[in-house]
Amino acid sequence: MPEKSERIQNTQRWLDLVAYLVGRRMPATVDEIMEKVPGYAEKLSGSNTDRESARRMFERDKDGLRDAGIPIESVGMPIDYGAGKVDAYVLLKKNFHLPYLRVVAGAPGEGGADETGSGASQKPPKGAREVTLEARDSHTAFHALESVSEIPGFPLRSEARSAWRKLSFDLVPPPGGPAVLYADRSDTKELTAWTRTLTDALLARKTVRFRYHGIYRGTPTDRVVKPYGVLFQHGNWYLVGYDETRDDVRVFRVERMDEPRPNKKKPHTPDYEVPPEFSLEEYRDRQAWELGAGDDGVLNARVSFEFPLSLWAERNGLGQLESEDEHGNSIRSFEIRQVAPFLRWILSQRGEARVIEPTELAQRVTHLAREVMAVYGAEGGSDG
Amino acid sequence: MAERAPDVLARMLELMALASRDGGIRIDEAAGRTESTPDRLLDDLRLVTAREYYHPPGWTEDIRIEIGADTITVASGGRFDRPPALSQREALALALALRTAAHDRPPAARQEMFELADRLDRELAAVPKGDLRPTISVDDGGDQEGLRGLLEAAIADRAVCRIRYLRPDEPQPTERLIDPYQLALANGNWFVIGYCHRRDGFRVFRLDRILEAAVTADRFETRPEFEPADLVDGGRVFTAAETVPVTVRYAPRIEAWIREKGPVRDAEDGGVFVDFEVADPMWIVRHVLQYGPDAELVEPADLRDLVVEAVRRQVD
Repeated sequence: MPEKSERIQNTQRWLDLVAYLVGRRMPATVDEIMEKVPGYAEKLSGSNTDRESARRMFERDKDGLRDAGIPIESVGMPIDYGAGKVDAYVLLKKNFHLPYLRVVAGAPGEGGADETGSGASQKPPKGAREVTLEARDSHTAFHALESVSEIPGFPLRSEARSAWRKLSFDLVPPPGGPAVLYADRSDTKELTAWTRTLTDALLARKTVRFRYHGIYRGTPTDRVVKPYGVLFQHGNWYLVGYDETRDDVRVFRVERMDEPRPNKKKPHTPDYEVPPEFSLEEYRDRQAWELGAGDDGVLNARVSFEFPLSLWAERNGLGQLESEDEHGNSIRSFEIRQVAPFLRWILSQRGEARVIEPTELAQRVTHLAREVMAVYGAEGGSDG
Repeated sequence: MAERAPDVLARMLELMALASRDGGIRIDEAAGRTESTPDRLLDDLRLVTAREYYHPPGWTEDIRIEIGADTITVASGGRFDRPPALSQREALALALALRTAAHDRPPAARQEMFELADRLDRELAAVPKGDLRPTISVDDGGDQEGLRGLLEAAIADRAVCRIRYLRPDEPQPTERLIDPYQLALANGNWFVIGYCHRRDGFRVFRLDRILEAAVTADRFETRPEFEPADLVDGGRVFTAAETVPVTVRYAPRIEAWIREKGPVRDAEDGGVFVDFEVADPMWIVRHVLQYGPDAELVEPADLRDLVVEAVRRQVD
């Protein structure tokens, strides 16, 4: 099977290259690598074309290994007593290997060396890196990796799992906490693939194209976006990025995209930089009406909440509390960047949350309510 | 789809590190530790040992791999006796995980977690990512009041909890005793599924409606009839007790949206119908109202009346 054979050869060659470099104390020149690594050496006895092909193969392998996280460094090695330099490569053990992890006393409970696994019982060799962690921090890291990798659509799940396994080489994982039940939707697998594509594009700073189905915007639109951030909140994944078609930073819900496609040209060259003033934190913990630049400007609204809904609004930090009466009813103020989702949200509160100001917004809620009543054929509904 | 070379390489490096320990490692244990299978690991090892070319002799000469009846042993002269440092993406996953967990903590502890995330990135990554400005963020709702932590501990300890719960259709919060069984996240909302002493059955409680919670000294016995999978359907979480069938029609302009969420039936006008089993009538009322005139609760009639009653309050 040619495909398998090629894959095997690639993996073997990569492993050979790593083994050759990590076994050396001194950098290896390209000529030495060509001679010593079997996958390249077998081509050296061939034609010039074969030798060129071996050299190109090495360049690809080196980039591939670096992409896979193997820290091969390029160094210029002096030759002829410093008269010139040749390209050479080094893979230092202290950079290649996971540092020796050791738990030092700290909460909770057991602490100390009991929390360190058999891997770290080997004394670190001279020059090896050692990292100490309090038991509490070690537990936190394991639990945090477990939790995040269970989130449906989490794009770095396999990396979170492999990081967990690497930590467990030296450290004893704490007993797992109660597993969370995620009410997965049917599209989780597709969602994971797309969040992965968007995350890869974001990390490589590559532009993405996709067709977007915005709610209440009629026909889908084609978008070209520079990803600035990927965000999970309210159970959904979002892309925040500079929308070239809208000439502005916009927020896109991933499941409303048709298959996003990154720019594949020049994969190692970024298409753009994320502006230094951009902060993804500003998009955290926002409701739908707070997100985006807003097509209607920014509106300030005051909303009354009846008790006990007022308790729930307070609990969820919705808007800012302005006042509260002796019955527990409250008035809260809101900043609204997108009116449509805000109107729908108010409507879904079954009349227990009502817009007081501005009047125009209150009228829009009333209009929407009349439209709904018309759908049900109820008296007082509008005609359309 | 064939596995990518980086994935195979990563697994082999992981396996060789485990098998470099004194006495090697049992194949089944190695499969568990690498989240793989014994067959796949043995295939990987054949990849390392059964080579297709031998000119000139490569590193296999000073690397010894022994595959016993049930144990693998590797001696690599120190080359592969430890796993590789975290890749940039693994370090990013760890930093993200810690940052996410940090949002469950009070502000002072949160800063400590951020610092831990940065330190581990610096010290465990092969190449620290340098730009520490987060471009990926996971907000799972946070737990600053410690409610999720309290319930997690209670679930682990099988401890009965006393909660003050605010149902949307009740005028006042009520006190209940619950045996907490399971935490769940659905549509961005956290829930605890538990046995409600007051209702004498399993119920689902939304965490943002639990106003107070305390762990009591009483312990409960797990009921064998509890099955978490029975409580999840179509991206929602609910108890099967006392549900009513509800049909909702969605307008053509939002049908593509609704189709994404689960099974639908096509309507003649280009819209779609969705059939629900609803435990909380107020949930379905809020659900249809969030779509304004683009969703219509078709049946049952008494729930249609609830929708009309709810919107009329915005008109009166």
